[in-house]
Parts: sequence; C-alpha cells; structure tokens
Amino acid sequence: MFFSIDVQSDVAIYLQLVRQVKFAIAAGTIRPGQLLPSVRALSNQVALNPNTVARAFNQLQADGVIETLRGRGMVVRDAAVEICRRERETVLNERIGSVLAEAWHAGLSKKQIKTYVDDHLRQLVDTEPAVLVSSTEPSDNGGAEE
Amino acid sequence: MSSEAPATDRLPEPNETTMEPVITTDALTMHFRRCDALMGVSLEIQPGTVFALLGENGAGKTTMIRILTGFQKPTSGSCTVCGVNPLRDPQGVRRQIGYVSDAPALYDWMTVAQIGGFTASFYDASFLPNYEASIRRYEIRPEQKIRHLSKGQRAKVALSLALAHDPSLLILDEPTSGLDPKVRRNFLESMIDRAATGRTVFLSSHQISEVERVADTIAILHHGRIRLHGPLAELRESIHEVVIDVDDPLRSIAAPPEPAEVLTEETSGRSRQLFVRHFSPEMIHALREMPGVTEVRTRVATLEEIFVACTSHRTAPAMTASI
Amino acid sequence: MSTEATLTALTTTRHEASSTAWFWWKETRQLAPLVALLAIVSLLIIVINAILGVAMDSFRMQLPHEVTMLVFPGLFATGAGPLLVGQERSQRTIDWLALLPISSKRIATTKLLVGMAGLATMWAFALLVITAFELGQRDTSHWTIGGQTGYSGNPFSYPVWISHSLFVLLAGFYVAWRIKNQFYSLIALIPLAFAPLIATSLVSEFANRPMATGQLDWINLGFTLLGIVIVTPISYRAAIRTLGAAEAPSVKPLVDVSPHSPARETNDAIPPTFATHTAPIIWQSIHSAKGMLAILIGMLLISFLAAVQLAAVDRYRGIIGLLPWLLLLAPLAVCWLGISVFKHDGASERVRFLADRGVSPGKTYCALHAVPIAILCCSLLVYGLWNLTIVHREAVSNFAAGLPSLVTMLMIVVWIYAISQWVSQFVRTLILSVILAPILSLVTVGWLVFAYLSLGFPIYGLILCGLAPMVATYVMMRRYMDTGDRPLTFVVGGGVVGLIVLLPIGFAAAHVLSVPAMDPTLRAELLSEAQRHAEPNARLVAVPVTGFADDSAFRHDPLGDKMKELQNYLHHYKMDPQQSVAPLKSNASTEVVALVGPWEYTRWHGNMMRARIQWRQQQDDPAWSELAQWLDASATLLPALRRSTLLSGQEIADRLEVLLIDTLQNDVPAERADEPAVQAATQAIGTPASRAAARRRAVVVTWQHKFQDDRERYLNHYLTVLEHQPPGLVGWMQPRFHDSLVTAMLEGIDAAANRSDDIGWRWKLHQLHQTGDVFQTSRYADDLRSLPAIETMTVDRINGYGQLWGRDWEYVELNTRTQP
Repeated sequence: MFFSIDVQSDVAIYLQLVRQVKFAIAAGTIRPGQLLPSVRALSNQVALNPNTVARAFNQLQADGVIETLRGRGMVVRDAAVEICRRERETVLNERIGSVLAEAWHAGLSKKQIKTYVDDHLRQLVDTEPAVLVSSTEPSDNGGAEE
Repeated sequence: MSSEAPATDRLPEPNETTMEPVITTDALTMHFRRCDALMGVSLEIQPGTVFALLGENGAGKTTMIRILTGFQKPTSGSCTVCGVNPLRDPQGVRRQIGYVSDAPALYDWMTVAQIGGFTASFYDASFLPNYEASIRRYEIRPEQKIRHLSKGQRAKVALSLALAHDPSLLILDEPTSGLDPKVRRNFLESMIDRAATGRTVFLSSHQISEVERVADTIAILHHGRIRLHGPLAELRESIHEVVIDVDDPLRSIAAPPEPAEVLTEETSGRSRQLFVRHFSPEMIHALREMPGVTEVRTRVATLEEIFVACTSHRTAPAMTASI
Repeated sequence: MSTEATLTALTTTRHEASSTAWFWWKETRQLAPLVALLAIVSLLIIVINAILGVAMDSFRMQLPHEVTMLVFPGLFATGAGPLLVGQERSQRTIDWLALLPISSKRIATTKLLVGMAGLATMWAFALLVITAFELGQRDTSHWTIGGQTGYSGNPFSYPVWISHSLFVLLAGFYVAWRIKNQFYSLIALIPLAFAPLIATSLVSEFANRPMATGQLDWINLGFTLLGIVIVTPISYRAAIRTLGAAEAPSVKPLVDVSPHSPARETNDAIPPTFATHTAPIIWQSIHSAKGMLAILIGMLLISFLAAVQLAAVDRYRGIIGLLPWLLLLAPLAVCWLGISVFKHDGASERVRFLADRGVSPGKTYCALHAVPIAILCCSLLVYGLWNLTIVHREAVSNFAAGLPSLVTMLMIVVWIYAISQWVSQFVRTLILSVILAPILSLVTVGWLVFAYLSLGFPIYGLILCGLAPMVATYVMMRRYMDTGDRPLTFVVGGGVVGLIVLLPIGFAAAHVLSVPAMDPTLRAELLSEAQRHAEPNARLVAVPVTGFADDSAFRHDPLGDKMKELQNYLHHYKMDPQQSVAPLKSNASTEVVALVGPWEYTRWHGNMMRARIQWRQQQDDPAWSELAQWLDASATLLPALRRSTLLSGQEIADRLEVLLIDTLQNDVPAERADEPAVQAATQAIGTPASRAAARRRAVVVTWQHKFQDDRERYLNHYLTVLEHQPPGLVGWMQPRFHDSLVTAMLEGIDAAANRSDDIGWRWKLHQLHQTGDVFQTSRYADDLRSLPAIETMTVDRINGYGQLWGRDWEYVELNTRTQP
C-alpha cells in the first residue's frame, strides 16, 4: 500500500503511519495474515527515519493490530479488523464532532447545521459506499430524518 | 516487499542502554578574526541515530564540522569523534568516517572508475565492489570524466566514495544544496539506509523538509550557540503556535505562566502570534479567561517555524532537551 | 550490459594495484600537461632554429641549441611544485585528498618524489639530446666541477646547473606549500630561486679581490647545496602544517558587541557609487587583485631603478653584476600583467557573472584590459621621460648607449602583452600559462625584431602583428564568457600564429619578387651566346700604365723646394705610350686583348691631355710628335680594348674613344690630317654598330662568368642598390638584380646602336647604381647627358656602367674619316 505523509501537520509522523495502516486494515486493503514490509524497506519507501517507522510498528503492536511472526516479520492479526474498524469509527466520530464544533462556533444555528447534514446524507445514501466490507445493517441507512 | 533478514528489524528500544556517544563536544569555542563562529557548544550524539544540525548560513555549522574532522583547531574546548580526539589523531578520525561536503572538489580529469580505483587502493578490498555497486545503482557510466558530470551526478559520486568503506559515522555538510529533488531523494535514502543498519549520520543542512523526515535528534545553532537540542518528535510536540485575538490592538496580554516559555511573539492588528514551549491545554482556558481576549487558537508548530523562531532573537537563553 | 563488462574488468585488473602505484599515477598524470607543454615548446624552438639556419645565411638570431635543451629542466623545476601542490590547493582537491586515510607525510613525500623523478627524466632526456646531436662546443661544456678560467658567466657547467635545478624544484614545493595564492607563491619563488646567485655575488662584492669564474662556480655550488639542505626540512614542515589542522587565530574577540554597533562600522560597509557602466568592473578588478597589481607595479619599478643605476655606472662588478638580472623583471611583469587579464577575475567562471547580467563582451573586454594597459602606459611614459634625460653615449656607459627608444620599447611591450593575454585566454591552468607566455613572447619578439631588421618588414606590419592577438581575444570574447570557446579558439589561435609567422615572410617574398627575374628563354639565349664568345685561346695582355714601382721611390719632403718637388712629380707622372703598348704590337699576329684597370686609365688620360695642351700652347714639331705618339698608341690600344670581354674594359675603351674623338676633332689641324698617326687613330674609331657588338659580347660573357657560373651559382658583384635592401634578403635579391642589370644594359646597347631616346634602361641603371639620388640630377638623365662626354666622364673610377652609351660622341662624323 502507499502512504501519504504530511511532514508539517500537527499529527506526529508515526501516528499518521499508524492511522493509515489501521484505516487500510479497516477498509480491507490489508488483510489479516498479510505480511507487512520490514522497517528498513518501509523507511526506504516512504523516506522516513527508521526509528519513526519502528515506533509506528511498536504502537501498532501495542494496540494489538499486528504481531511478530517468527522468522518472517510483522503480520496483521485476525482480530485486527474489528479493532481497526472501531478505531476508524472513533476517528470519524471525532472528525464529525470537530466539523460540527467549528460550524457551531462560527455562528450557525442548530437548524442550519442539521439541514446541511441531512442534505449531504440524502445525496450519499443513493451512492454505493466504496468500502469492501460493510459492517452496517441495511436498515441503518433508511429511516425518517429526525 | 523486499526479503530483508528480520533480525535487523528489531532496533534497540529507546530505553535500552546505549553505547558510548559517537560524537561529543565539550564547550567548543572558535573565534575568528571577524566573527565568533562557536561559543561554547556542548553536544552528545548517540550511535545509530540521524543527527541534524540546523542553522542559518554562517552560523558555524561548517566550522564545527571542520573541527570534528580535524581540519581546524578550536580556540578552546575539546571534542571526540568515534572515540578519537581529532586534534591529536586526525587521520584516525578520517579513517572511520565518510564525509561529503557541498560542491565536493574531486579530480576533474579522472574518470569515475579511476577515482574509485584510486580511492580503493587506500582502503581494504571491499571498497571497490561497494563503490561499483553504488555507481551502478545511480546509473552513472564509469568511463565518464568527472568534469563532464552534472552537479547531481558529482554529488552521487562523492557520496559513493564516502560510503564505500562502510564508515560508522557519515558526516554530510549540506550535500544537496542546489541539487534536483531526485538526487535529494537518493541522498535521503542513503541516510535512511545507514540509520537502518545501525550507523550514525551527522547531517548539517537547512533543507527543513528533509530534516523533518529523516532526523532523530536535532540541534539548532544560532550565532555560535545551541538554541535547541533534543529528539525531533518531542521538540515538535512541545512547541505550539498560539494565536490570540484581542478586542483592542493596544491591549497587552500577560505571558503564559511557567513552565511555558515564549520563543517569539509577533503582533498584527488584533492578533498576536506566539510560539510557546511546553504549552498545556489548561493554559488555553486561562488565556480565554483573560480580559479582552476574544479567541485563542493553537496548533503544533512546524520545524520551519521553530527554526525561524529560534534564530530571530539574539539574546534568547540556550535551551537544552529536558530529558 | 557493457557497463557490467567494464566494471568486472576494472575489478580484476585494479584490485591488486598498490596504493603507491595509484598515487604515483595520479601525480604523474597531473604533471603531464607541463611536460607536454615543454616538449611542444622545445620542439617549436628547435624547428624555428633549424628553419632560420637553413634559410638565412646572415641570420643574427639563433639560440645555441644546448641552451634550448638546458632551459627546459629548469622550467620543469619551476613549474612542478606549483602544479602539483599549488594547483591542488587552489582547486581544493587537496582537502579531499586529505580526507582519505593517507598520512600527511606520505602525501608530501610522494609529491616531492614524483617531482624529483620528473626532473631526473627531463635531465636525462636533455643530456641525451645534447650528446646525440653534439650540440654545444666541447671546450666550453664541462663534465668536471669548476670552470675553465677565461670563460665568463660559464653557463654550461652541468653539475652546477643540475644542482641548481634541484634547488629550484625544492624551493617551488616550499612556496607552494607555504603560500596559498598561486600568484604570490610564484612571485616569492623568484628571489628564492636566485638566492644562491645573490649570495655568490654578495660574497664577491665583499671580498676584497676580484674572483675568477672558477672560484665563483665553486661558491655558487656551495650555496646551492646549502640551499637544498635548508629548504628540504622547512618545505616538509610547511607541508605537514598545511595538511594538518589550521591553527586558531589568536585574537582577542570583541566582547559581546552587536554586529550593528558603531564599533564595527568600517568604510567597507558603505557601498560605492559609480557614474558609468565600466567603472564598477574596473573598480572590482583593482580591488580584487590589489596585492597582485601592487607587486607587478613594484617589479616594474625595481627594474626601472636597476636601469637607472646601470646607466650611471661603467663596470659591472660584485653586486652591480646582479642588476642586469633585475632588468628581466620588467618584461616578466609585462608578461604577467597580460596573463592576469584572463585569470583570477577574468577567468571564465567569474566572467560568467557579468555575462549573466547582460554585460556585453566588448565592455567586459575593455574593462579587463583597462587596468593593465593603464599601468603599462604609465610606465612607458616614465621610461620615455627618463630616456630623454640620459646621454646616449658609450663613453658614459655602454648600457646607456644601448637603450632602446620609446617607440621600440612600446612595440616590444605591445608584443609581449598581446601574446601573454592571448595565452592567458587560451590556456586555462595558471601555472602552465605562466610558463608558456614568457617563452612565446620571447620567441615572438625575437622573430619580429629579426623580421624588421633583416627582412625589411615595414612598421605597419609590426603593428598589425602586435594587434592581431588582441583582436583574436576580442573576437573570442563572447564564446569565452560562455565557456564555449574550446574548438574555435584553436582555429583563431592558429590564425594568429600563422599571421605573425607568415606576414613577414610574405612581405619579404613580395619584396624579392618585386625585382623581375630574367625570362628563361632569354637566359638560355644569352647562355648559348656566351658559350659562342668564350675564346679559350684569346691572349690577354696587361698593359702597364701606372708603374707603381716608380712611385714607391717618391717621398714627400715638407722642407724641400716646392718647385723641385713639382718637377719631380711631373717627371714621375710622365709615361711613354709606345713603351706601354709595345706588348700589344709585338703580338700583332694574334688577336690581343688589352687589360687596363679603371684606376689605371686615368694616367693615360692625363698624359694624353698634357700632350694636347702642350701642342696647343707650343704648336711646334716636338709637341706634335709627342701628340702623334699618343695618337698612335691609342690607336693600337683601342681595338685591343674593344676586344675585351670585361665590362670594365668596354668602359675604358669608351673613355679612350671619347678622348680620341675629341682630340681628332679639336686638336688636329686639317693639314696634319694625312699623317699616319692621325689616320691610324681615325681608323681605330669604330661605329655605333661595332661598339654595340663589342659591348654586347662583353655584357654577355661577363654575366656568364662574373654573375653566374654554369652551376647556377651567383658570384659576387657589387651593386650599390644592395646596400639599401634588408640584409636578410640580399642573398635572394642579388641574382634578380643582376638579371635586371643585364637586361637593362642590353636594352641600352640596342638604344645606343639605334640612336633611340628610350629612357627605360637609363632609369633602371640609375636605380641599380645610384639609388637615393633623384633621377633628374644623376648621370643617366638628360641634363648631364646633354653635356659633352669629355667634360662629364669619370676617368679614375667607374661608378656605373653605360653612362657614356648613346651620347652625342657616338654619332660624330669625323671629316677626317671621309678618306678611304
């Protein structure tokens, strides 16, 4: 998979790596049991300090997403998918929260915000989500607007 | 996906006992007739790390490197490189290091192969194969004369010559100034490679984007003094840009309390921009409470902003890593 | 892939090569340009020498070959150190070399050893050439120490020369290690290289007695060896110090003064303002090379002072003996001013700074040349003013008498400067151009001086040759600024060289060819005619006219009686004509040819005139009989003279005939016309046709014998015109002049026979014999020729042939002739 690192962002580089790996697992780009590239190879690929890459791997290991396979390297755990998905939902929740907070602090009313949200949802419901594996029930997408 | 041996994947954890530092300087001072290049610089560089020395042009970076490689005697102070004192045994130092400067002065009339052969005769037998592999990787034709190479190719040749004997310390003095991004990428990969195999890299540069990617530890040298020194990740996390909007342009705001340190402060109309170290979230609330403050925004500062902040004041006290 | 093959080949072949071999290879390769340069220049000089030796008989400039061969180890010794060390320091490759695991000691010693090996090779080669071609004389070259007394200067003592070149080599390394700026190191090398010589002359100055050259040689050798012993360790130490860590300057720093405080304010902080566009370039040229310009001006000044001193003293002994060496500093300084134009700030990398900013090549060119030319003009002005004040007489000082004029100096300076600045643009390396430029300037100056003196090269040609290199560099300026001049600069350079070499030769050839040679068919005709006239059996009789033996007894006595002296003199001057022509008469059976020298005829003429005057005065029989004697003798002499095949013989015959005709016309009374003497004389006088035939025969045979023999060699016959030709071309012009002389004379003979007024041959003869005079006033012009011949002809010498041909006396009808 390919990473895109923003060196100047607020988020630490290793955290960006961690997040992107988790998102990739959640989206199904990386499957459980798949071997990750070695620290050296990955640091060469993304042009980053190997310590940073190692730190990212350590973090992933601590989070239970990957584990060492003796003689081979790091593999994705089977349970990782669930973890990653939950993590992704948390992150998306935070993001939605921060957008709503920004709108609120900019002076928009609750009604305005809700109108915008419903408009966007209405457009999106008709399209097919890009994800490979969906964890939602079909009924979650329908339902009257509040 | 390459098939590297997994044994090299495990790098030493940060709190494993480290070996002796590769480079130590102790109150290194250098006075020239027209300027004071170094004023009491004390550093320690751990093995297996990439150390980046940032500074403006003329801050003293090259002088320090010349002292470390034994080309210049300091006015006072001492230093050790790979366990050897460069003042006493410069040859011993140079044997163990590789050094690439900007615009390296190679023999123009030699071909790439000839200069490799010439240099190889002074090292052991593994030099030449390494050199040739490197040249091959960079796609440089060995029969070309060095004077016909482009700047980037010349830098690559210099790098190959410096790395072919597998030195434990690689010193780079602004090697990619004026080179195209592809060559810079090549250098970056070499540095990463060295770090990945446990060797040390000492990089003196002001390509901030490269430093951010590749450095473990940085130090900022300004007017001969070290302003900032510590692991890059921690430094970045510890310095924030704080923007305070006030109601009245003339209103003055009290500085954030200890342990926060203000690096620089700038005013523009009703906004004030501060670069603060060790800024905690509680201080945001405190600032918001202050009379006249309408809004406080904060984000992590980029390395470039940190660099500019450190190098604009003359009399800011020296700061060291709080580890 | 071919790269793979190359790399594996390299791996297998180079793997076992030792580092020493590689190091020596690198150093030798760095010396290669110097050796190549010296080889080319020495070949050039040898070739030029050879050509000049073959082409010219009377050349005045040729270097002794062994000096040529010996100078080159010396030049190599001078250049090796700066090339191996100074060049590396200025290009900073020495810093890269020091990064490798090579000890400073090894670097220093390897470079020195390579230099010494190179020097030994050059010496071996030079000595080989000298012995192989046997250059130089045996008795002035020495294989043992010590010179033979009596040969001053003694430059060919080999051991001294060899050890001195070794010393120069070591000194070159020392200054290169010690001084970073290449130019300053070369300047410092000059006095250091001459140090043994200076020490020797100091010793001879302070010794109370004059020393023989053999002793001076020993002292020189001693000082040289001492120099070697001293310079080697300090050179080594300088090397170690340079290659090691630079010392920290021990300066008390300013205590915490801000960079903007007034304490640090200097004039340098104020940017200068300029009014024109070229001013900043000039300002920058001066300021960036202040030291170098100061040193060059200093060199010119020192030379000038040495010249002033030399012009005031008469003899060169002791320390004064060094002063002529100081004079060499001036041409060297001019040469280096020329080199400095395109080096340092004129170097193409720095000049590109100006090119990038759109400064035109012309402006850059003027700006680069402005300062050196200004310096040269000032020094020439000073020289000219000083030259006016000194007395150019040998009694005061040989040196002062020989000082060249301002114009000569100007031309020489222009040549040296032009060639040096062209070499500077052409050759990129500083040290190579420093060695090449003086040699080329010397060769050029020598060649052009030779062309002017011996080949008659006109002054505007000299100016052209002097300006050609300047034009060449101007033309190449644009490409030079873009560093794209390499292929074209060789072409332009070849053009300049060709111009300087070929232009004088072209002029010389044109000059020679301006005199027309004889048509080959005519030449063949004349040759065959000469063969016909050659009479091996002709009898040549010398007619004794002067009688020198008598004159030797005559001595001038200042106290004697004047009248008696006069009578004595007259007595000695008289001669008996019949006695003189007696040999002619006695051999009347065969055709006799009389030989009378031009300076001898005057006596005959004088005596006959005396007889005539006597006859006019006395009008008596004894006077007549004497005159009759003379008439008769002349009648015998004249035909014999006419048969002569010498041009001088014909001229004398003409004069005799003129005299005879005049006598017959004016002094013989009608009643005596029938006397046998008179008749004989009348018979002897010939016709224009007969005279023409006789003259033609004489011209042709003389041409064949005296001007040219059967093997097409031209023998010596003096023509005044040759004095006015360039001395180097005389050899070529002489035959052509002879040819035109002969053709003119043949024309004249025809004109005289046909009584034509054709002026062409007379004009040519005037040119050949009396160049410089205006034609109208010469003896070949109508004014003089209209006068009677007897009044205007020269009797004691012949200063030009054909002055009597075709004049009125030839066509006189003698009334006494009417008799059958």
